[in-house]
Amino acid sequence: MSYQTVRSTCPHRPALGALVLLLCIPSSTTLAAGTLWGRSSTYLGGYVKPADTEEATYMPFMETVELHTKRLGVDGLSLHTGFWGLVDLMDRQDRYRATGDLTMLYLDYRVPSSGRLRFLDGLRFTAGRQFVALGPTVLEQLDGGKLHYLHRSGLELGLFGGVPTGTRFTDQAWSVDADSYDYGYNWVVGGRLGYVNLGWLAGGSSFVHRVYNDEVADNDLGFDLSYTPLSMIEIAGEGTLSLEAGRLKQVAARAAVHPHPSLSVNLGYRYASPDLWIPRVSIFAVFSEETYQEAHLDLRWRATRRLALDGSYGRRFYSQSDVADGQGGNRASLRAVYRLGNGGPGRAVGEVERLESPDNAANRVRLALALPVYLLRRTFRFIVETDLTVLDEPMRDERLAFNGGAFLEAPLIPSLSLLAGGSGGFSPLLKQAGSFIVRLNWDFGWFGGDAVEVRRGGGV
Amino acid sequence: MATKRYLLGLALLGLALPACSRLSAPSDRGSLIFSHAQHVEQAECGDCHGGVEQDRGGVAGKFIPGKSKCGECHEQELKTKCEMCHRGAKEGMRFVRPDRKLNFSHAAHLSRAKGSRGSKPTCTSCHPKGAKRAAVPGHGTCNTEVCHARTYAALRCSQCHQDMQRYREQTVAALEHGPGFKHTHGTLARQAGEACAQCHDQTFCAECHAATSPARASILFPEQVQRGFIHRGDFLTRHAVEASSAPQTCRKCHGQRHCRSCHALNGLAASVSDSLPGGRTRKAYHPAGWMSPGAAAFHGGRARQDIGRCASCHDQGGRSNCVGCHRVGGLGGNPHPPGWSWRDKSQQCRQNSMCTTCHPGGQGCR
Repeated sequence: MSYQTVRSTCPHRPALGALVLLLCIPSSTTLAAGTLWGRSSTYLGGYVKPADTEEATYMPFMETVELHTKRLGVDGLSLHTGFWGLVDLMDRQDRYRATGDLTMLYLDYRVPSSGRLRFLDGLRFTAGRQFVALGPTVLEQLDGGKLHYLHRSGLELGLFGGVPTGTRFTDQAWSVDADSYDYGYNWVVGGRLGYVNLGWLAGGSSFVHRVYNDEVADNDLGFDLSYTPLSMIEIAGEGTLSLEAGRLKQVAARAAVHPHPSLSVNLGYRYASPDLWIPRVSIFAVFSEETYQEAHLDLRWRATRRLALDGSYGRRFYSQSDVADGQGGNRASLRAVYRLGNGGPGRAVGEVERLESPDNAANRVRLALALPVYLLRRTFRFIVETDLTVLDEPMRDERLAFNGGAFLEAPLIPSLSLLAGGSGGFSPLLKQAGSFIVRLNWDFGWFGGDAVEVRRGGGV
Repeated sequence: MATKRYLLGLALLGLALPACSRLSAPSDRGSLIFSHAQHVEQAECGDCHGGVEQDRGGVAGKFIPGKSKCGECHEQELKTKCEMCHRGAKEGMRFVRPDRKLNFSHAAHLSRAKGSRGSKPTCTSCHPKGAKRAAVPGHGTCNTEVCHARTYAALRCSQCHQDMQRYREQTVAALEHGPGFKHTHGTLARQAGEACAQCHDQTFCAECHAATSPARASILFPEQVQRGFIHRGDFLTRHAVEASSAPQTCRKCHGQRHCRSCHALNGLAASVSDSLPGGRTRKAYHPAGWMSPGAAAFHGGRARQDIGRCASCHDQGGRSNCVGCHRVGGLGGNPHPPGWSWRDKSQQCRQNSMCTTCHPGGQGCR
């Protein structure tokens, strides 16, 4: 419900935000399709929480932009960037009126398969602010570089290094804790040596080394393996060993079976030591060695061309029996997705979920609809979203939480669309709250249709 | 009366909407009606696709003959029977030459590639003569053992595809996002991030995983009802259950200030309930018995079970509130778990800045 804006205690951040916001709109409106591709989204939102906190009303004006181009004059070279800016039009405290950030800005060079450097075909180098997901990292966002080489035999080598941009989502818009401890890492390096043969075998070994204030924060060794003995069966596993603690940080294993083209089954197991996710330089890293495990089963049945059903069950175990009464906890969910229209973006979604923890359990029902309506020679989209949560144990004397919303998306011209709508609800923590949003979206340079499908996660 | 008229108007509008609408837009792209099998009986490939054997760049539909070429045989039909070749011509649909963004050289393939029996390949090696449709050969044709099977197996998609962003995930079954993908995609990305990058830009990852964001993904993209956004709906109500159900999950993404700032704002930071100026109430976050050894809710047991939850509020380095009681000689005693071990424990106890907070000068180090 709430706009979880991220702000820093850095005094220059508001000025940076304003600058980004000013640059966003003109830069994104002068781009020609075909030369660049990307998306520009302009939002005006409102959020009202009729409660007793001071900062309960927001009216953020936001701009998010992503740009990609391959027209840099060098074959194989491309540039990618994403940034956002925000101004809170209702900011009462006059702190952080504007904020924003550069999400990514990196150069990507893939050695082309023809030309003078074709003997290096398979080599890729990225430099700048980027994401790295390699071995035992958790999608590290860093300012640095990454080198990746994939030989035609399937052997691959990846190395990365840089300065992480900070712990993810460290702050919130209404941060009142200006003097809290900063947990940014100073630098991180890592790599992976692996082998991939699609449809048969893939695996590798990896490492990551983080240093904070000249002290080792993490020193992890990772391993992963995926084996497909038959086309309908895949067995995979991964693990991370904390070299500092001498214990396993996490292990995951699964067997994926496809007994029928329309049926997929996953049997899996996870193990984690929660304390090892705390950097080794933290005082909290030395208080616990408890573990958490889960055995789970996931199913997907494509009942028809339009209808897909997902089911998931997990049994969780906690190593300290006195907290969980030795019972562990369950999670279970059912989800149905129905495609509406002829290959378009229409979907009807129904979800039922139960999640148990040692303290409480949440039961959730969600119904959502994105209905394409062809009207006046254009495809409009009508979106309805309802979400009900019922807690087993009351929170602030209440057990029910409900959130519902309705939106309409209208195409203005090809690639330009307007979305408007609002949502509201009640919850034990927020009591009542409501919000509205107006969004002007410009997708430029996409290839259309399936391209949006893949990029935007349009699958089931 | 006026209200009734408005309601009547709205009702009529509501009824009219479905009447003049359809659930899906008709396609605005036409397609060709063409049989290669019929044409190759009367012509050679080069008669219509002249110059293809010298072509070194792409297969962007540029070798589909134009009207003038077809007109050499179909002069009359060209003037009066558009629908003979163009499906959707009557509806005004346009035929758009397909561009599948492939890195492909006909010239290289015709000169270097080996045919199925070691002979020099011809057009029909990849484009069977009897094919009813004019189609780009699929993976089955390209990924034979003597051609690109290894390239495909090594996931070197970019050797043939300029990008994969125009294909549905179902196109390559091995890359399909199966059940429970929300839980497994991190593992898969760490194993084969390059495979993800074949289809997805990093901006796609950033929608959920960027260190900063103007708002939650489910707020920014309300129309994407099928995506498994973690914090959808009233996540605030569910977050405590989610956090303690899978203890390490939140910590993977969220720093301690994220939790602490919101808990403080919403009055959850105090040990006991109290009143705030303006008639507001601050409610206790910790349950009764939190500080009573032996009680079910005693903080020692809870901390062992989910230490990340404690750290989400209390991690202020040397100023953390656990230090006061649990430092060497403090009332709280030794907080390390039984059998606790660390690499070079004794040495680190004397040198690590965090250790020396409680073990000043190496006190109590073993």
